[in-house]
Amino acid sequence: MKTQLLVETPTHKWMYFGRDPEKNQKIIDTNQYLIQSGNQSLLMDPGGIELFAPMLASLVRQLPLEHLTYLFASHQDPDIISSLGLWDQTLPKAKLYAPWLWEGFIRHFGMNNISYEPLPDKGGKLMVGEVEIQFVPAHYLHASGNFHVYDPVAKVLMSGDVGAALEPAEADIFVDDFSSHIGKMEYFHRRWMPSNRAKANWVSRMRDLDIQYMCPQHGRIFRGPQVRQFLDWFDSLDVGIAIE
Amino acid sequence: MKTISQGGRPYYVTAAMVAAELNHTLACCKEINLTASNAQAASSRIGSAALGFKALTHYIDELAGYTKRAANEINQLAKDASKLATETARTATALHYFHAARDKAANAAYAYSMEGAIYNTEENYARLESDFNQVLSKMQVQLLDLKQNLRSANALASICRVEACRVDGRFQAIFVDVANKVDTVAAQIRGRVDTAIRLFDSH
Ligand SMILES: [Fe+2]
Ligand SMILES: [Fe+2]
Repeated sequence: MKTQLLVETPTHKWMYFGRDPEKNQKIIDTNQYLIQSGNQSLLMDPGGIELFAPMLASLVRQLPLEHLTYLFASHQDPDIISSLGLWDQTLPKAKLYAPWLWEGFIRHFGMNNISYEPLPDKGGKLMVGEVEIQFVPAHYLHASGNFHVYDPVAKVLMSGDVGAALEPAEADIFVDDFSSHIGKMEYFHRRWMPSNRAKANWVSRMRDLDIQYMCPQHGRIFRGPQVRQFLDWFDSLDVGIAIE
Repeated sequence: MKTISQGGRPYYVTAAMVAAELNHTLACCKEINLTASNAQAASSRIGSAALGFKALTHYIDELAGYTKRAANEINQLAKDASKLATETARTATALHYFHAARDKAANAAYAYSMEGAIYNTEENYARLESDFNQVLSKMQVQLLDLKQNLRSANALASICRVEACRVDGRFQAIFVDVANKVDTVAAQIRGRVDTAIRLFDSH
């Protein structure tokens, strides 16, 4: 599994994990992100059961497991958190931050040890080591209870399924040319995202944040001006096409 | 002593199938109960000639009661076994992934930090497996006991046929019916119990 340092500040760092070459071709490729600060870390959207072993192996190259203190699930999808039953036996003292809406659903993945920290609809904050991160509401994008993670210090937004692209597992992890990337994102956003109203609300809130890296759970990472390009493109996109 | 199967049909499926067989057994017990109370009603109508028969219905009733209790107990054990086997399978899956991660991370700086979780999961697996095997052998003993006790059903049916000869022709049919019913239902239950035993033996 590919592991890459994204950003490093004096207090913490963001790591990327993904593009596992041994992954079964029939399951959608996913990106996992880790914030590490001192003795604490947050693993975001840890992934599905199939990804658990490579993910665990990659993590212990970076940190001792007792430093993996927090998990985050943006929503309840299997590609996000179906590995929970295995993490539960790996990190019995960890806390899982996830939408309150999905607690009864996510627990179906098996959770006897980890504690579920339900995020209220308006979102919340969490200190990971020395850095305070924000859980930003992104409801209905695509799940009806859904959050992104914003780090105002490193200026990184982990945007879950927003910004996702469907492309082969060998693809680079960064967007190079925005306009040629659109073709790989368009259908995903038009079909998976249900609400133009939710989308407009999210875009206007994101325009107020300083984002240098926008990190989706599938596809490639947007950097610098590409973030604004994405917001403009998404703003004008008509979503929820299946009912037409 | 059997241990949890690694291949073929998983044990949690077998245990669930055994529970289903025992549910059918409970339905058969209800039939015997019904037969016994019908026979009791008939013997009251027949009067003094049916006194021996009336006593017999009491034994039929008792046999049905015993079978019902035993089936209920084994059914509960089967449910426990199925639950334990499911947990065991889940733990085995976790171990499988842990071992895969350990192989992949052979030279990782913090590979040692996985060992605690792996050790705990191995312990947990061993405990679940031994709990499961205990429930399993208890269940097998009880199934054999039940089968043994069902033999008295045939004896009861035979006595019932003897009693039939001692009453008027018009009542004989009722007695013979009861005898046949006890025979049939006991055979059905024995069939279910045999299937349950075979389900385990096929592992
Ligand atoms: Fe999703
Ligand atoms: Fe996803």
